[in-house]
Amino acid sequence: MLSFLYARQSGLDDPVRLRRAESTRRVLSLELNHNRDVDRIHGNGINTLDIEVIDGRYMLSGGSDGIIVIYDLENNSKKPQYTCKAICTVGRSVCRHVHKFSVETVQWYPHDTGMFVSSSSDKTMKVWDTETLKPAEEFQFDGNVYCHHMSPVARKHSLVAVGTKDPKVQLCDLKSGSRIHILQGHRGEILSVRWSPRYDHILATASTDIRVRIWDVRRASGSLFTLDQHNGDKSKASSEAVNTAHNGRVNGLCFTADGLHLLTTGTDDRMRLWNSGTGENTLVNYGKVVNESCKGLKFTVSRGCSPEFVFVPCGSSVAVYGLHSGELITMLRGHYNNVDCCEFHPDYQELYSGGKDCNILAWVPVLRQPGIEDDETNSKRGGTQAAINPAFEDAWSSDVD
Amino acid sequence: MSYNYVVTAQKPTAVNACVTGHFTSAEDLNLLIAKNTRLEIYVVTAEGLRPVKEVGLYGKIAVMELFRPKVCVRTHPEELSLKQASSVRKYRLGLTRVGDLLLITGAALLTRCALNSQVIDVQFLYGCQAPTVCFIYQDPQGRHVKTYEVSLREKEFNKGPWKQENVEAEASMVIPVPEPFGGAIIIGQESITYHNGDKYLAIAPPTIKQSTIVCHNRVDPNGSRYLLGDMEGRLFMLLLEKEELMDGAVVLKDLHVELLGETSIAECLTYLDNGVVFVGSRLGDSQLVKLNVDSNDQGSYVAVMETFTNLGPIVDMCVVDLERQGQGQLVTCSGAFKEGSLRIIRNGIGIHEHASIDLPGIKGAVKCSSSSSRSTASVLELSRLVKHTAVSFTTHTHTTEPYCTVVVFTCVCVQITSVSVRLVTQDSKALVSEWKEPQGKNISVASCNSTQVVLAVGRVLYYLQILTGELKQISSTEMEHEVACLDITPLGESAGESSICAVGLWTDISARLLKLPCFSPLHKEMLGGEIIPRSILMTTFEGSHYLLCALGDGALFYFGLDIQTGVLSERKKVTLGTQPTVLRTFRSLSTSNVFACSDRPTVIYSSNHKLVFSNVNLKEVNYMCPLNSEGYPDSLALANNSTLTIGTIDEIQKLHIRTTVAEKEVKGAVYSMVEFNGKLLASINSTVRLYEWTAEKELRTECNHYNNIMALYLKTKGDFILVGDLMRSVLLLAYKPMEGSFEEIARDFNPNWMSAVEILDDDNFLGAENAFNLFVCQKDSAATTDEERQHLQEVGLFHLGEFVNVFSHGSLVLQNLGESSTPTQGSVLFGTVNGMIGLVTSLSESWYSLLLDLQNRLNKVIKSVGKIEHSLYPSFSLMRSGSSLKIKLIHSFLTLGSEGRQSKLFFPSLAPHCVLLSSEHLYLLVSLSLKHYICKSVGGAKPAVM
Repeated sequence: MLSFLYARQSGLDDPVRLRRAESTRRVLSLELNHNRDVDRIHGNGINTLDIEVIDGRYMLSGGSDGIIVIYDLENNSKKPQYTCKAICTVGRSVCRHVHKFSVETVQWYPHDTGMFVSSSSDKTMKVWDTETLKPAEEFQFDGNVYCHHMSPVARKHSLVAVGTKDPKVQLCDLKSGSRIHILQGHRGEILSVRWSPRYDHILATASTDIRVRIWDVRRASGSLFTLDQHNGDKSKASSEAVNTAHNGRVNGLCFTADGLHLLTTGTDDRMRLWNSGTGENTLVNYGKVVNESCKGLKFTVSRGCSPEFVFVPCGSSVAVYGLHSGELITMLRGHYNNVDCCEFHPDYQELYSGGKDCNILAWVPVLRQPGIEDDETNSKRGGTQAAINPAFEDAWSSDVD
Repeated sequence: MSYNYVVTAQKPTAVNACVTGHFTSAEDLNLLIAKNTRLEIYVVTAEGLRPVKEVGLYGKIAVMELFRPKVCVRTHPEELSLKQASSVRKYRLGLTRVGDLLLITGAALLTRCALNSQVIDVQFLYGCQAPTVCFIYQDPQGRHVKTYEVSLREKEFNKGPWKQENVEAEASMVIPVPEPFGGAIIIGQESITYHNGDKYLAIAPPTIKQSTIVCHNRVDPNGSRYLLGDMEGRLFMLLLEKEELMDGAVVLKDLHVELLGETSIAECLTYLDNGVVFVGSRLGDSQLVKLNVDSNDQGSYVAVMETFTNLGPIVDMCVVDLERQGQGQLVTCSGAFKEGSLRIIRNGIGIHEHASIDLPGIKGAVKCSSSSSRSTASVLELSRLVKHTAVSFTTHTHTTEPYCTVVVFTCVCVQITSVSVRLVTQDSKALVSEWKEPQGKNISVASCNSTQVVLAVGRVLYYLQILTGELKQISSTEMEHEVACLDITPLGESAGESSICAVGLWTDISARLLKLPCFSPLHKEMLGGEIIPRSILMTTFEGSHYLLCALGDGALFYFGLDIQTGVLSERKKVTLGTQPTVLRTFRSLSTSNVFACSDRPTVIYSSNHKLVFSNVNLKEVNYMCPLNSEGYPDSLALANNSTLTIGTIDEIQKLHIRTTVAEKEVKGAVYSMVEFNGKLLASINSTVRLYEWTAEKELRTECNHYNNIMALYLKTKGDFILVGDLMRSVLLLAYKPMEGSFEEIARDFNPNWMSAVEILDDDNFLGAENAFNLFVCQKDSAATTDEERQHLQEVGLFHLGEFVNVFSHGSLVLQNLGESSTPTQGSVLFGTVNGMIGLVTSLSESWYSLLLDLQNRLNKVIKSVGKIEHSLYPSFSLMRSGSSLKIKLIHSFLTLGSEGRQSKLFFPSLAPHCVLLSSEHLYLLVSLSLKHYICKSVGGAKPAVM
């Protein structure tokens, strides 16, 4: 650390390097910390989590019990130990607008915390006003809504992509409050939809038809391309498996922070990394990523680290992989039942995960301890860390931006 | 709400990049130096480097290449900068040129081509059909070199002519080799390799293993010699030995590396001409070195010709007042590795010492201009001067002491001694005329100009006129008290003759103005106090007349003077020193200045019609006289009790840096330590810990605070402690002495990665963060809820573009010089990685809005270099109310010069952009400008603005 500080001070290193190295160290030291608890509100499994990006302060959770909870992640206790308080709950007792069935996805409006959107298996998607906790808008669909997503970067449109039981992807416009467009191509239920964090109009969709399609929503005719796990090599695939992303239902999508790559998960227990510009399978081998979820799987990637990591629910644990190496770095064990979602806090390198055991667990980096302990932990940790974290040993700076 | 004004005191001095080439015109050989956000353009002349222009950019220069289309006679700086700027903002790595094609390559672009790998370096190759890039990249297997052809039509990369897998693990640089060799040289940690697809040649000279080569520059256009510089500051020459084959083709035969010698640690190298190399350094002083054919005694081929001071990286600094005179000096920890040094920075005027001689018993210095041949060598001139001085003093010991010698005409001079006034011809030294006091009393004080003499004998004043070959007494008068000092410097257009006599008296401590020749009183000014005036002087600065009167205790009164009526106005007082002060005028760079001789010599001059008092880098000066001879043009002769020094005054307000070297070693991860109420406060990793001294002189932990990620910085004020965290912005703690514990008062919850913190006042806190921004947080004591009180509100954001390492309260200027009219409060200095020193000071709201308005209007008027909008520069997307002002524009405004200001801002045709400024406002701007200027040249500093 001192050498990093010195290099930053003397201008030998770009200041970003210290930040990347320390972020990486922190991700590698994530553990279930007794200093941090999250209020337990949900009476049933937790399907979805979302942390807003404006202040990085408020987190939404949606549960199988139809309840939505907002947590304050900020530590006002003046002590290192604290509990993230639930500051409001959209529950049955207080709100008649509450979702009737399981809430599948919640997402903050990316540009303002005054609004968030939830979708549920009660065939509705609701746009909530955070102040009043009343729906400002409600969209009805014909089937269960599995997923929805708003573009984190788009300023010119306010489209919500919605995936339902229907193979058609729906685009709802928040400005007009109407469904304005459908994207046709899939032949199965849509389990996950994600906008690119790089381009306003690029959308990825995943379906039970074991395919992943990339769309430019400005184009009327079909998708841009379909991800092919064999990169067009027909000899490896049976005829019906051409242009498939997985050999099972594709239930999870996640772009990397720079939008250059896309991760997909499928019930074939595989995770794949794709070049999002060309659709090429990068063939990074993550090994077996157990995936029993019949609905959408919410997984996430780190931001600001070097190298970057993937956090993916895997049974009752969260598996941490090197994004580009495919190496399994650690399993975060703590839940008593299957984990369904996890969300990364990029400001403080913390991970929140929600599972069927009704708990939200906070995974917090271990602090460097003062005094003598420091040497011991460092020497213990140092070996494994240096092996995984090249930012700690190498002289070159990473330039992935 | 807090309003702050951020100003540059010293521009960045660290050199990031440099290039040589024909830039200002096809004939000029130019050196372009990039210093973070500034670009300096020099012309290389036989005499050395001549600065042409310096431009500021709203961006940081990352890479710089000279780009010259084939048919271009003249490239505007703007054009070049535009390219740099865009490269800076969009790309990280490559900006390279092939023929007349400028191509900008970004690492990200290449990274897309080579997944899961890091691009280390990229360059364009010479002699290829299609533009071809050659790059080193790293993947989990190691480092490899690859080439790609750039398809201009598809704007894509295609497979290139050759590649080389598994080059050295630490290969870090690609040097493209021009024809006839072609190909590229790969520089690694231990080896240097040449590749061109067919041929592969590697050498591993032992000398380069010691350190890492960080920069290179091609010497010859044909690419047969290259300069290499490493992290230890060693300079190498890489030679490519050629071989002519039977078929006439020229191929590479061998590579040689030779150690040339040691320079500063180079960041960039550029070969100028005639064996002269510019060594640009970020970690130490930049140098201009000459490569000699033969080595010197130490075996070095390198001779340093010129050194360019660099303060960066300023790792730490503090303001000290060594002489306890309210004059701050800044001590910085500058440089890194072998360039590490402590530097002392003070403002003031520098005297470059040219000659000095130990000469005990000097009682005065007089100017003696000999009419004999002036074309003598400087040594001779010196000896003559010394001889004269010596002679005049030896004569006094025997006879009488001359007060004053003045050359009246070309061949006559007046010599005033304590007994008489003598008119002497200069050549023959023959006495022409002599005047003595009728009773033979001693002359106590006298003053004369080229036509008049006024002298005092006790209380009686005599007025003499100098006529051809005769001294004639015109009048005399008796004053109420004894005369202490006199002056008849002619002012205004009354060439050579003064109609006013200024007199300072004993007993009633007054300054009076009398009309000549009748000695009728015009004005009487009581100075008050009990200290007698010791020196009085009438002078003109920038067309305004002033009367200066120095007292025996070092205080100085000054007044505006009406030379017609003799009326004094605008009385002001400053303290210059502690000893009796003698005032003398001299001219420097065709402006008149006053030198105040005392224990703290000061130069008084005027800037924008304000008197500025600037210290001189000398200990004590008793007497001074200007000297302008062949050997010492525009010089000053300065004398103290034992030494006579001849020196030139440098351009007013300049940085003076003395360098010493120091080392310090610290063990453990203690990031910060401060003295706190007689105890020791330290931050150890995430803990803030207070130690107290036990009776056994041991440190005992008194209390801890744990709620941080990594407490890197500490600042204290009273019982308050400001903690700067690695990544959690700032936290305010209060120490409870009764309980012996810390209490968290408030925290800024933004995820700022801090680089320095400072307490501005009880409610406002200044921070600098990783992304080159400054911000001000405010404590909201009036908040109604606990939660609000716990939040420090970010009230000001400012994009500085420099990585701040340290804040320090204090100022480089005199704090007690007169009453200041600048509407600013407090002063915090900051030092950055690139050697920049700046100042943050608080403004009132009204001034803030005025300046903000001015800034916004200036934005519309002042064109930015490279057409980068000023508004794009701040990367802080949120500019909230109460933010700090951007000084860059204000600075541009000031550099416009008064004419430019007039035309650009106040000219009616530009009405929409006009700022209507009242005279008061202009006054402020000028005050700020002075402050600015000071700081701009750091030494300068605050010319006590009156």
